[in-house]
Amino acid sequence: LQNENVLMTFHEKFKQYDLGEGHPFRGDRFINAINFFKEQGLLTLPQLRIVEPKPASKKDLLRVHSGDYVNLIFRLAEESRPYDIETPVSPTILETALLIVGGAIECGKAVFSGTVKRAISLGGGYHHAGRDYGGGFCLFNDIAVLVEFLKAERGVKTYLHAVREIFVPLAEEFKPEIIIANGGRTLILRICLAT
Amino acid sequence: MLGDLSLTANGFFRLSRLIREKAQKVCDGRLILLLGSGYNPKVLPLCWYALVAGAVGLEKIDVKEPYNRLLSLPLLGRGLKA
Repeated sequence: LQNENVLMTFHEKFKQYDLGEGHPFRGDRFINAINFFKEQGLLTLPQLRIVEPKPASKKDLLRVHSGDYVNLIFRLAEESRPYDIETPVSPTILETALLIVGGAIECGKAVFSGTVKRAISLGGGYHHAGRDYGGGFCLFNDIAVLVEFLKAERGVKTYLHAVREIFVPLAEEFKPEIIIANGGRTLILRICLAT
Repeated sequence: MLGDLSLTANGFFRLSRLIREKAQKVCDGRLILLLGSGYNPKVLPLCWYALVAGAVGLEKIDVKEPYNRLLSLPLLGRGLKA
C-alpha cells in the first residue's frame, strides 16, 4: 500500500507572530485556521499528523541570508525595533520566525525520509525576504531556506516550484501549467523546474 | 477571494488538488506546501482549509463561500452598473 501520510507543522507559539493592532498580520490567524480545520473534521483524519517544529538554526539561515542581515535581525529583536514600517521585530516575533522556518525544514526532512508523502508548513511562505533584506512582514525566507537545506543535506538537484502570478503577461520561457480565468481576470499558477 | 480574482474557497481546493496530481505525475507524489498569506480574517481559515484538504487528499470539501460569487465578478459588476 502506498504511503499517503501527511505531516503538518504547527506550534502554539505561532500566535506570537503578531505584528500589532491595526496591522493586517495578526497572531490569531493561525489558531483561527486550526479551529476551522477542527470544525471540518480535518484534524481527526488518520493520515494527518501534526508536529511541533523546532527552531531553525543560524546555520540553516546562513545558507540563504547574509551574516550581516541575520545579525541585524537578531539585534533588532533584542532591542524590539522594527525592520521597516510594516515589519516589526521583537524577541517573540524572532522566536516565531525561527519556528516557522524550522517547520519548513521539518516538512522537508519528513518527506525525504519517506515517513510521509506530503507535508504542510502551516503559516509558511515568507517570500518577501531576500539574501540581505527583509520586509513585507517577512524576516527570513523559509522557502529558500528549505530549498537550500534539501540541496545541501538531502542531495536534491531539481525541484518544481509553483509560483502564483496574477495579471502577468505570458512569457515564452514560463509555460503556465494551470490557468484559471474568471470574470475576465486570469490567475496563472506557474509550475517551473528549478535547479 | 484572491486579488479580486473572484477565486472561491472551492477554487483554492481545486488548485491544491491540481498541484497534488502534478506531483504524483512527476515526483512520486512528494509535495511540500508552505501555506501562508491571506489577510481577510473571514476568508483565511476557509482558504487555508481548502488548500490543506487538497494536499491531504480529500475528494471534496463542503464549505460555505463567504461572498456571493456572481456579484463579485468584476466584469459583471461593471456591466450591472452601466
